[in-house]
Amino acid sequence: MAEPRPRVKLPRSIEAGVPFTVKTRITHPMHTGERHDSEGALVPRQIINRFVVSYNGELAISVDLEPAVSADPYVQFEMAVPESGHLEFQWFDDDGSVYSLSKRVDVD
Amino acid sequence: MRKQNGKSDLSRRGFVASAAAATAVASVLPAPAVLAGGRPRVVVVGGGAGGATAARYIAKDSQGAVDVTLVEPSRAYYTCFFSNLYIGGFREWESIGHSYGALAANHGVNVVHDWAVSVDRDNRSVGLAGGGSLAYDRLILSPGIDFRDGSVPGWDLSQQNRMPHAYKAGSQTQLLKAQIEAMPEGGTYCMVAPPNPFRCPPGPYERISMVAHVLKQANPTAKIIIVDPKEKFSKQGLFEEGWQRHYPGMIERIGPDFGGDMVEVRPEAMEVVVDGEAMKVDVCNVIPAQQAGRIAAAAGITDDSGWAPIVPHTMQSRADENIHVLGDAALQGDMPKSGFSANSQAKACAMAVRGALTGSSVFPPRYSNTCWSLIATGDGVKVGASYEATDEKIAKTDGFISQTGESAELRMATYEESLGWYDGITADMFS
Repeated sequence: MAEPRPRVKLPRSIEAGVPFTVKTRITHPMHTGERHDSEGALVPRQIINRFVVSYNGELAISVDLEPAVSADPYVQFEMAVPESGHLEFQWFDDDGSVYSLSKRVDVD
Repeated sequence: MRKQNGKSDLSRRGFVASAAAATAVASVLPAPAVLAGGRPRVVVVGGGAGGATAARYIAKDSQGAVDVTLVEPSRAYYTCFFSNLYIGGFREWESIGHSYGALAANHGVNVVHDWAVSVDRDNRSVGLAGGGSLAYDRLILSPGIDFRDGSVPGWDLSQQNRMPHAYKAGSQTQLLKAQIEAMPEGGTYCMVAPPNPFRCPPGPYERISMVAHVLKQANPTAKIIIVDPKEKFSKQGLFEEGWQRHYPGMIERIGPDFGGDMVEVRPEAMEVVVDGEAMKVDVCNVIPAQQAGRIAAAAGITDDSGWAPIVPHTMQSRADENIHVLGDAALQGDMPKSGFSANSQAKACAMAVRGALTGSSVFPPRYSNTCWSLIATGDGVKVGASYEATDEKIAKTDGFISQTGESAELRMATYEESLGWYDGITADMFS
């Protein structure tokens, strides 16, 4: 499997205290544990089971993902920030890997 | 008829041979002799699925009553359709190459290997890069596509060896395949996909499938990224299902929701910049925005869209009734820009041209199209439709598309159908 690649999209400009949309996605096959490969063998479960976002070290959103979530899980949410800082995104894989991405936010 | 034409057929064969040997093609043109014969003259520009079919049908069905000249710069024509299968290793290069010899020998088409560079609509003649000109009673333009300058910032034709488009089949296709095969272990192939409308709507995504097929075997940790300005694309559900089944985790598509519509390339650094963020790639396949092949604009028959509007019943230009436009270059309505469409339009056009020049019967045209795509070995899918001519446009009447979850047997049958179609259409163009 190719290394999962996280991606985040923020608006061009962000104002302090005004809600904005955050779009996130990570490439991941999200093996449910119910599917069979071409030889008929069961493919073991391997999914992104948790997604966490924090802002300047403070938890902003935490999402539990289940096997029914499709490949390349996409999570979109609204948030507002009081000042400029850093958004940290983390995706937790069943195999123990953690994929992370950081985005600088400069409020207008 | 055939016997009567035997002599001129022979001389045309000789003409093709001498044209192949001569650098100054125009100097050996027998145009005045043809004019003296008094037969109506048709000049066809572009020897692809539209032009070659039109030339062949007019020459064949008019039994020598119409003089047909085909202007095409390439001596060997490599079909854009199935060139993805060459990239995927499913076709040998020579198997998608064709020559114009049979059009001359079997049907008496004058084949001129030169570029058409201008059209004098008042005097009804086509200027050639080699210096000569060809007079016509009807002109058929089937020039395919050219790229829009500046559509992908950082890319222009001078960068096509570093970042190939491979969207006109030929050395570009071979170059792209070589670059994919030379990728470092775990490297990244990036495609910058074109905005609508463009040649072969499923083409970029079939190509992604073929690249994934090659990399899965030779370089399984490699990554594939599609930077795409479009919200959605042809046969999307089928491709995405197939990608997950055959190439899980390998392919990422960055649509406009993640900045795929804000892309720039840096060929020297081999970087692709998406929404302000640069990423390093190993192969970058830039397929720019497209417009009608240059000669259509030179003839003054394109509109602001960059394509040439046509009359749906005859494929005649809306700007000039003596010019017909076929295939990718035509702005016609609902048909996709495909080889199948061009071939279908060419037959309707050939009938209309013969009717106008020789008085033969003309029936209402029926257009059809099918686009097959190969996702993995034996996993073929298709989309297609029938069309009719209305005053406004070529309008879709009914269509069909492969379904997700189809059996392996059905997918194999669909693939085999595409092989049969390839043999059929290339015979329809070149035999």
